[in-house]
Amino acid sequence: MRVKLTCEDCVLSMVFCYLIAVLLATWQEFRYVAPSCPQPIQVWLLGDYFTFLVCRWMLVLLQSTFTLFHRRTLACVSLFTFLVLYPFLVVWTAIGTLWFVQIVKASVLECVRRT
Amino acid sequence: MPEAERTWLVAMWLIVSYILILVLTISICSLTLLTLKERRRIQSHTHLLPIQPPNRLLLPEEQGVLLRHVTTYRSSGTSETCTICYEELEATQRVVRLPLCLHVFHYKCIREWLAIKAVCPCCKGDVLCAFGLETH
Repeated sequence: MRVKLTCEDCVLSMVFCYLIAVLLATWQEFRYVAPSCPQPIQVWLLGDYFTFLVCRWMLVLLQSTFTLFHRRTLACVSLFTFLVLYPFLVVWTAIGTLWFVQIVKASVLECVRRT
Repeated sequence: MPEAERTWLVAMWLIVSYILILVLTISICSLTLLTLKERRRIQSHTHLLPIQPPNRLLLPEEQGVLLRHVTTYRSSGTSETCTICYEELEATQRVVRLPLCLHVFHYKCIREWLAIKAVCPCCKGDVLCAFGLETH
């Protein structure tokens, strides 16, 4: 098996690692965007960054050259990507959207109450 | 980080997430289509190929016959690739050129392959028949 790792993939991985590091560094102040709506949006962000990073690595693996003896590995990687990772990403993004809408609604209500 | 900025960051990342999911969906669809196309192409050629013998193990006397067909690779001008490991064949490497179909592979690769299946990895031709060995 020969993995084709391009320069863009390395840059992308580094960017995602940087984003994860920044998120972890600002974890405490990031805690709740709207105090009345305690949705852990930072957990969602961390999960989303990580899932996208793993997704890209899986696609890099799938685009690699597989010899005739590595067909089982190829099947495992494709099944994991298409049946586990991809549906999880879609569901996770939907959850994130829901939390975000709840947070925005709570923030607006807080603003109205203050004024 | 101020509260408004945090909200904006999450909103922006949500938009990026949807775009990335779209890109991922397109790449998965194209990958699936390519695989299906390739499988259909192989299936359309299968009826032209000889009947495949079942999975088997390479016997010691058959390994001897295989060894007799081992040669040192000599380039014919154009570059050739071993379709088992996808490595380019280089001069002085030990290779086996199968009789009849004339497909060429590294000796190590074809020995490992023939221990699983006695057919040519390229054209699915019966290797034992090509080697002049009786198939049971």
